[in-house]
Amino acid sequence: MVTKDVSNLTRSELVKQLAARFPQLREQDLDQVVRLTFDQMGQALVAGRRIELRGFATFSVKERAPRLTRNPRSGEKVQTGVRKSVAFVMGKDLFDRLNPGK
Amino acid sequence: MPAAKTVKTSPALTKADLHQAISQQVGLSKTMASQLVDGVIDEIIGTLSQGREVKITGFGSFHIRHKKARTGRNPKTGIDAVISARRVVTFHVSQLLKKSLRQPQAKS
Repeated sequence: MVTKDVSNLTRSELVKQLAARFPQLREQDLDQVVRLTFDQMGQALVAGRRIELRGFATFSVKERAPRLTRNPRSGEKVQTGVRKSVAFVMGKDLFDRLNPGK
Repeated sequence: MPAAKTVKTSPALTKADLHQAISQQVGLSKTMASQLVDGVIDEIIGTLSQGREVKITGFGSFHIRHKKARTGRNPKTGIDAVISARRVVTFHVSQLLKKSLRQPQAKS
């Protein structure tokens, strides 16, 4: 996509918003904080660990069993490896803020 | 399709781990680190509650879905109950992270 969708929040915009909240901190430090936060979260998942962030959400790694698939071009059978995906469960605070009064 | 099973693991990553990493690597106090982590979460929730999406390169994206009201059942009592219309958040792992999940050794 060539045009930037302004309605999305990206990492760099997240840093800018934090800078407005924490004017006493340098923007480069905030950039590092945001990077580090998501790096740590990614690495935890790669290591197979769950992530539990109170007030936000829980992330866990799910393994899907390998299965036989077929290469549609050659008709050859291929064993698809163990697939891993990330399961996301909303926390209560997140739910409450998106659904006030429920 | 076989049911996906949750990977059993050692202790979960918590906010305390993030505070530790931030204070060590960025050189900020634990108190400040704690405020920053909560700040990040608050900005994400605030954005989502406006109906906007959050995309973090190399990690994943968060989207909002609007669910219509439907009839469900209380699994404990078996009584029918209306599940009200609500907004839920979905998360999609980035392609990059998905790759690393598949081959953990490939990541330095």
